[in-house]
Amino acid sequence: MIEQRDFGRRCLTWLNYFLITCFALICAYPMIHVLAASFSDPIQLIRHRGLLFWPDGYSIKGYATVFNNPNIGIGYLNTLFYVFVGTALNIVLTSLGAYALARTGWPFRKLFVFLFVFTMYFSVGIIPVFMQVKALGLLDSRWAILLPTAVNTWNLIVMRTAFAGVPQELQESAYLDGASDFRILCQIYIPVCKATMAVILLFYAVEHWNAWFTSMIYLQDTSKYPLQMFVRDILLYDAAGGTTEDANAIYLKELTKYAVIIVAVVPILCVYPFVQKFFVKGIMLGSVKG
Amino acid sequence: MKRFLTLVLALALCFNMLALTASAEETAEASLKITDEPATLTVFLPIEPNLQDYISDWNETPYFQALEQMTGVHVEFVQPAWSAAKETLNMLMVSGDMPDVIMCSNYYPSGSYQAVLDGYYIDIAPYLEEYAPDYWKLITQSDAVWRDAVNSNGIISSVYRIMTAPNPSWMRLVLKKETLDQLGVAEVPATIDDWDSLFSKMLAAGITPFMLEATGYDEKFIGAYNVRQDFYQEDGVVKYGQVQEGFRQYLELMHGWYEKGYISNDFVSASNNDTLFSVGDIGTYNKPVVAAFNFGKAEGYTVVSTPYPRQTKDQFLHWDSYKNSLVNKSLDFGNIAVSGSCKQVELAVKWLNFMYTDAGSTLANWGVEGQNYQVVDNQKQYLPVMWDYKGISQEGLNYYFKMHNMATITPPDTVCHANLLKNPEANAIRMEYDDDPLLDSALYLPDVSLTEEESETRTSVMTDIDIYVDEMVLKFIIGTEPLSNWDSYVKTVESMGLEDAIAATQAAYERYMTIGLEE
Amino acid sequence: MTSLTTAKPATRAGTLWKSMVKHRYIYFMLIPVVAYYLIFHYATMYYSVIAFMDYKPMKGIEGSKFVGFKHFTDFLTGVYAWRVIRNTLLLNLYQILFSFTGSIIFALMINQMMENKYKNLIQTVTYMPHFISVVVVCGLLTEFCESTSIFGDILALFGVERSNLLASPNNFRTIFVASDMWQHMGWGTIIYLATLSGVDPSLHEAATIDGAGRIQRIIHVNIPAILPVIVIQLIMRVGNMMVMGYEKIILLYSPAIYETSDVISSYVYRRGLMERDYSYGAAVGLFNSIINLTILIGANAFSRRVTETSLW
Repeated sequence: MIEQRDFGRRCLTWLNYFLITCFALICAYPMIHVLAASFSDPIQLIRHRGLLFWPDGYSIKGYATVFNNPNIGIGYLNTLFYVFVGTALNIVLTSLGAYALARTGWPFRKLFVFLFVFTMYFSVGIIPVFMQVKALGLLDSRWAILLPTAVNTWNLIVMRTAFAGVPQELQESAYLDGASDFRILCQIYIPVCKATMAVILLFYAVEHWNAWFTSMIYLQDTSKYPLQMFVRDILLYDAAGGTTEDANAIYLKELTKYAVIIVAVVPILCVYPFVQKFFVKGIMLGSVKG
Repeated sequence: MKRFLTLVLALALCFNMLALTASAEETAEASLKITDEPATLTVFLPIEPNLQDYISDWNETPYFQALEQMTGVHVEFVQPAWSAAKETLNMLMVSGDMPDVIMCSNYYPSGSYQAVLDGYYIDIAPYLEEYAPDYWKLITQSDAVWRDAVNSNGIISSVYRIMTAPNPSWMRLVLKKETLDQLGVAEVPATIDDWDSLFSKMLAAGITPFMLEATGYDEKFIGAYNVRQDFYQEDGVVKYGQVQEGFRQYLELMHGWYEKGYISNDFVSASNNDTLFSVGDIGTYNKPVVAAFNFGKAEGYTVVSTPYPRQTKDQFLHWDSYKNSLVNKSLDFGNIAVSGSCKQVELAVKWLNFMYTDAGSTLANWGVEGQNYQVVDNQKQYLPVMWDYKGISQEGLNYYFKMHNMATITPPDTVCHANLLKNPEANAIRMEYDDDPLLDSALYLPDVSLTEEESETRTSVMTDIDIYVDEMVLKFIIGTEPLSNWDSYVKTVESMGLEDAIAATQAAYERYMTIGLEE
Repeated sequence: MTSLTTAKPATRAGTLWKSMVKHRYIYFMLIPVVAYYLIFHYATMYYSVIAFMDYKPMKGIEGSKFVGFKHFTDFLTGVYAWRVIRNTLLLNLYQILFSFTGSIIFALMINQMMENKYKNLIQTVTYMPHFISVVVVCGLLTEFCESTSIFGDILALFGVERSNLLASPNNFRTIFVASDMWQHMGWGTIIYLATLSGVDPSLHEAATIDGAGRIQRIIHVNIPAILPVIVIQLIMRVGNMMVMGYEKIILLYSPAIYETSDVISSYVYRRGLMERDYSYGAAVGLFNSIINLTILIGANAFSRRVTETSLW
C-alpha cells in the first residue's frame, strides 16, 4: 500500500521534472541555435536543415560585418545613454512617488492614488501622445524617448507595496531624530527595500534596452537611433536587397542577422541572472490595492 | 518672350561652359556659387539602404561635400533610416516644422500635388523661370515633358529627374545559363508555355522554379494578359487592373503554378532570394539584370536575361512603362519638393536648379573630375575608384561619389552607371531585348493630378479597396480562396465604391491630356 | 452660537491646512511625479478632441473643421471594424487561456521542485526569453517560420507539407500565442512563486497528517493561497481585453494575413500614422480606450460580488 503510493509519488515527481526540463529546453534552444548559426559558414548555414547545436562550418564574417557597420557603434552608445539616463530618471521619480503613496495620513492621498492608477486603465492612444510630445517641442530630441515613459505606474505600485512593508518604528524613530522625508527615503526605505529596487531597476533598464517604436516615430535622425532600430533594419527589412550585387551583402545576410541578434541580446542576458535572486523577494504583490 | 529668354539662357550656359573649360578651377567654383553669403538649407533625405552600413551622415559623402563646395550652401540633413523614412516624413508633417527641401517628395501618401494642396509643399512654378532657369528650360522643351512636369492649374509640386533618352528596362526575370544547359534548354523562354515547360523541367531537377514577388503581383505576367496593376488606361478610358478578366487569367496562371510547386512556398516572405538563386535553389526571379549578371560573373556562373513573357510569340505588349516619358518620377531621389515651412524659397529653388546645370548634373552623374572620372577623347570615363573604394558595396558607391537616380538631367544608365560600365557584357545584357519591336506603353496611365475633392474620394475608397485586393490576390494565388469566387470578389470591390475612384481618375486624366505649353 | 458655526469649518480647514503643512515635504517630493502624469497623461487627453474633427496639421486644432462622431460611425460601419475588434479579442482570449493559465500551472510545478541549483537554473533559463526584445523575437520568428527553416523541418517530420507559416492566416494566432507563451510563461510564474513562498508550512503539515497526497495539497493549500493574486491578475488582464500591443503585430504581419492579425492598435497605426488620417486614428483609439475601461469596470464589479476580491 505504502510502496504503491511511493511509486506513484516518484512517478509524479519524475513527470514534473521531465515537463519542466522540456519547457526549459524550448526556452533555451532558440538562443543556442542563434549562437551556433552566428559562427557558421554562410553557405552551409543557408543549406542547413534541422536543429543546430554547433556551428555548421566556422566563420566570424557575420560578426566582422556587424562590427564594421558604424551604425552598430552609434546605436550601442545611444542605447547606453538611454539606459543609464532613462533608468536614473525612472528610479528617482518612481521612488519619490512610491514614498509619498506609501506614507499615510496626509491629506488628498487618495486623490493622487487615483490620479496615478487611472492612467493604467485608460490610455488615449499613440496619436494624442505624439501631438503632446510635438507641442512640447521634443520631436527629434532624446528627451522624447525618455520623458514620456518616465514613470511606469505598475512599477510605481510594486515599489509602493514594498515601501509600505517597511516597519513603522524605523521611520518614527527617524522622525524623532529630526530626519526629513527625503532622508528617510534615501537612508531607510531604499536600503531596506533593496531587493525591490534591484528588480525595478532591471525592469526599467530592460525596457530602455529593448525600446524601438518611440525612436521610429519621434526621432528623425539616425545619429540618435538606439541599437534596436538598426537591429530591426538588419533583421526585418531588406531595403537594399533588390539592387545589390555585392557578394558580402548577399551571402552574409543570414549570418549577419544571427550575429546582430547575439550582439543585441547578450548584454541583457548577462546582467539579469545577477538580479535574479531578488525576483521572488522583490515582487511581493500580495495586494495590488492602491 | 520665352524664346528670347531661352536664347539668352543658352548663351549664358555656353559662356559658363567656356569658362569651365578655359579657366582655372577656382574661378569656375566662384562662378558656380548660388549665394554670396554663407547659407544653410535643411534637407529631408533618408539614408540610402545600400550605404547605411557605411555612413551615418550624408555630409560624409564626397558627393555632398563637393556639392557644398560648389554651391556655397551648407546642407543639414534630416536623415532617418530608409525603413523609417515614411514614418519620419509623416511625423515631420504633423509637427508642422519641416525641413526646407524634401527629397523623395513622392512619399506623401497621395502624391506631391496633394501635398501642395494640403499646404505641406509649396507650388514652385512662380519661382522657376527666374531662379531655376536650367530646369525651366528642360521642362519647357516639349509638350510631352511639360505635361509630366506640371500638375493641374499650372502648379508645379516637385522637380523631377529628367532623362535625355529613356532608360532601358532594368528588372527582368533572370536565369542561369548553367541551369538551362543542365536541363537541355537551348533558348530562353519567350511565351508563357515556354516558361511552363521550363518550370516543369526545373522542378523535376529539384529546383524550386520561380520566386514570385512577395506581393503576388508580377507586372510582366500581368502585362501578358494586356492589363496593368492598379489604374491604367486603354484608349483614353481609365480602368482598374485587379478586376479585369485578364487579371483573373493571371491569377489562374499563378495559382496553377503555385499548386504545381512552380512558385516557391516562401514567396510571401522570402528574404534571401539572391542567395537562393546563386546557390541554385530557385530557378528564376525578378531582379535588376546587371546586378544579377555582375554577381554571377564574380561567382563563376553566367546570368541570362529574358524577354517579357507573352501568350503567343507575336503578341504586341502594351504594358511597358519605361518608354512613356522623359520625366522619370518612379525613383525616390528623383522627386524633390520645397516645403511649406521653407523661409528661403529662392535659395532652395536655386539649389535645386544647380542639379540641372552642367556642373551639377556632371557631379551627380559622374562625380568629380580626376577623382571619379577622366575625359578621354571627349568622353567621360569612370576611374577604378567607382568600383572599389574602402570596401563600400558597388551600389553604395553610386550614392557616395555621385548621386544615382538623382533629380538632375541625366543620360540613360548605359552611359553613366558604374555597374553597367564595369564590363561590356554588363552593358550588353541591360540592352538585350530593349529593341523589342512588339512593345509600347499604350496602357500606361501617367501621373495625373486629382483635385482635392477627387483625391479625397479616391483615397477614402481606395484605402479599403487596396487592403482587400492585396489580401485577396495572395489568397487566390495560394488557394485559400478559390478562383470560383472571382465574381463575388469583383462585386465586393465594386460595392466598396470603385466606380467613384475610377470616375475621379478619369476626370483627372482628361484634364491632363489638355495640358500643353501655352504660347 | 454664530461664533461656533463659523469657527467649526474654519477649524476643519485649519487642521487640514496644518496637516498639509506638516506633510509639506511629501508634496514637494510629489511635484515631479505629478507633473509627469499631468503632462504626459492628462494633458494628452486634450488632443483626443481631434477625434471629433477633420484635423489638418497645417491648420491646427483651432482651424480644423468639427465633424462630431463622423469618424466613429465611419469606423463602426466600415468593413474592417468587426475584423479588428474580433482579432483583438480573440488574441487576448487565447493569451489568457494559454499564457496566463500556463504561468499558474508552471508556477505550481516549479514550486514542487527541491530547492537546489537545478531549480535555480530552470528559473534562469525560463525567465530568459522575457528579456529578449520584441524586435529580436520577431526577427527570429520570421526566420524560423520560413518553409525551409526549423519549424518547417519539425512539421515535415510529421508529414506536414512545408510552407511559410507566417504566410497563412490560419497559423497566425497559434504563432502569436505560442511565441507569447515561450517569452512570458516562465516570467509570469514569479508573482505566484513569491506568494507560494509565503505559505505557512504548518498548513502543509496539517494537510499531510490528514492524509492528503501531493495533488490534494496543491488543490487545497497552494491554489487557495494564490487565488487572490490570480483574481487580481485576471481582472487586470480582462481589463486589457481590448488592448493588444502593436509592436509585435506590425513587425510580424503582412497583407496576406491581415484577416487574423490586424488588431485595433495596428489599424490605428496604419490609418492614423502611416496614411496620415490622424483624426480617424484618434477616434478609433478613443473608442478602444472607452470600451476597454467599461470592460474593466464590469470585470471588477463582477469579481467584487463573486470572489470578494477587487482592484478598488
